[in-house]
Amino acid sequence: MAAVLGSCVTEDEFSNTPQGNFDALWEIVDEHYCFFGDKAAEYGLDWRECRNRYSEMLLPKMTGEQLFEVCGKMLDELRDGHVNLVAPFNTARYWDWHENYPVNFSDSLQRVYLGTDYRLTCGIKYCILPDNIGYLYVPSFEGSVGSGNLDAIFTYLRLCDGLIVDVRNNEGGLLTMAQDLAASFINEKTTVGYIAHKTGKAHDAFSAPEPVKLTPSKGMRWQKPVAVLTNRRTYSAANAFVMYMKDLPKVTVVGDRTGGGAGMPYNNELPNGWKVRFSACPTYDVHMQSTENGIEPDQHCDMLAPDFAKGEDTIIEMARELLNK
Amino acid sequence: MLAPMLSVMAQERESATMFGVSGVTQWDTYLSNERYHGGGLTVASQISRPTHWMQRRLYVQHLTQGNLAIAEPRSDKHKTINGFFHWQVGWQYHLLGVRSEELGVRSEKWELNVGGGVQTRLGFVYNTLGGNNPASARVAVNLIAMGQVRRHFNLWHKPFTAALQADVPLTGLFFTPDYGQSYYEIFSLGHGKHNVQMVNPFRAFQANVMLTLDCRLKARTALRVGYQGQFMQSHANGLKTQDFYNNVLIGFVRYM
Repeated sequence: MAAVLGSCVTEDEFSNTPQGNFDALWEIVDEHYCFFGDKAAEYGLDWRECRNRYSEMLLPKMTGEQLFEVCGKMLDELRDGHVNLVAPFNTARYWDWHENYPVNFSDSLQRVYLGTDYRLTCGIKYCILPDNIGYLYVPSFEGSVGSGNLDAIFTYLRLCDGLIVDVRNNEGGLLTMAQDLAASFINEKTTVGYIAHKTGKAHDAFSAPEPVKLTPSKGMRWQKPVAVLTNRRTYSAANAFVMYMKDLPKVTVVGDRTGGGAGMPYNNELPNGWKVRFSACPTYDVHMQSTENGIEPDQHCDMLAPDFAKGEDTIIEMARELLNK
Repeated sequence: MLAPMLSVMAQERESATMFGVSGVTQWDTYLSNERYHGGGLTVASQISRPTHWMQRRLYVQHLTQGNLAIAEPRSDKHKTINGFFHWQVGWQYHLLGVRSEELGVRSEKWELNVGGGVQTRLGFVYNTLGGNNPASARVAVNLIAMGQVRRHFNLWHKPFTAALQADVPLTGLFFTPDYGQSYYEIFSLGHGKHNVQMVNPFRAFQANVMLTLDCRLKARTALRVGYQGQFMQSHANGLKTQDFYNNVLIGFVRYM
């Protein structure tokens, strides 16, 4: 009886002090972050050492802004674009995955190709280029796209000789929307990657990776050559979309390496209410390789200044050339 | 031997409808490490009637209840919205019913009912923190032990009934994600493993306690006021949850 009455589920709470908030942040990441092993192998990340180093910067009377700076710098050690600390006055982020690289996208140039009478559904812009190549720009996977919308798109583009799917500057959103779009390019149930999750607090406690299988769309499906355009800001769910598409026949990935972001992010919070975001569920490609650091394109291509001066997008032009062969 | 002591009042069918306000403590480490506190509303229906079995000493009791609550952490920066539907059916044996005359005290009577039943819960907790872990489902089917003590007495020339009932899940099954598993994996990809766990009262004690006082206004109608504590918690797959509702109830009882 005593055992029953004593079986109340409890856990100590961190105090709402600089030290308490710092400890809460460190522990949330320590117990839930999914890439410690990869980061340790890649550049020697030692999360416990980070705690020791940054906790020395704490002061009992420090301001919220000072605490935010210390916490943000500690999170930077993870080198992960899915890791954020969100306070009312600022958002700590790690954006080196695209800020240190060429932009490889210009909405001014895109306007040259799209014109002004392009079609638009669910945020997806599409048109037919003069050489009978379809152009589909997906700026985000936030929200959802219905089978009716995709049917409308592919019906409009059905007579094109090839299709460009441009996911440059697409920083992600819902994996389900990325899957719905990718399902329009397969004809049978296809394994396009793997996903796992943490099974406990230990850094190496993971479930066995299970396959991510796409079921072909019940609507119209694209059967002709496809070029998927990428840049370093192709991230998260858009990175997953490229991962799904890369190994499909008739698909060529053109542009720059994607930004990565292969960990599905979760949220948690600190005692003071600051929101913490972190990668929680690792995903892998069909070869069981992590795409956290991006996916290399089949045809690497950067936008060139002379082309820009001519009003041409080098990456779109390379894709057109490939599709017109 | 006990049959003559069977309470006359307890042989009635009772149908109680109750409304209440709740004080809520909500904690789910899948969503947040912080505890949330807040308030909500509840509505409940409790129907109790004798069966024809065991010389009408066996009662069947249905409890159907809905809860809706909003809670905040100590920072007040975020919110959870919690909703529960609770249904249970139990059979209680009228173990002891002492007539007042036999105790020599007019109009007083004690009852003791014990039994068991089945309890189901369906609910959700939505946290405004968002992300890929914005909500958590609550689904449980339990076998419960039930115990009830009732006392009938007169006060100010009106008959009153005070009752204390406790229901405790002994075993059962409940749904929980794995430690870091996303609902996307479970429902979109169909990767469901370790998602159904056994209820273990020695690891996470749960109880539903209701204390009520009924005052008969008319021959077949009583006013009910009461307190209910719904203490639900779990500890499985490295995740901890607590959903504590302290409800103040008011309602009416119909005797048929």
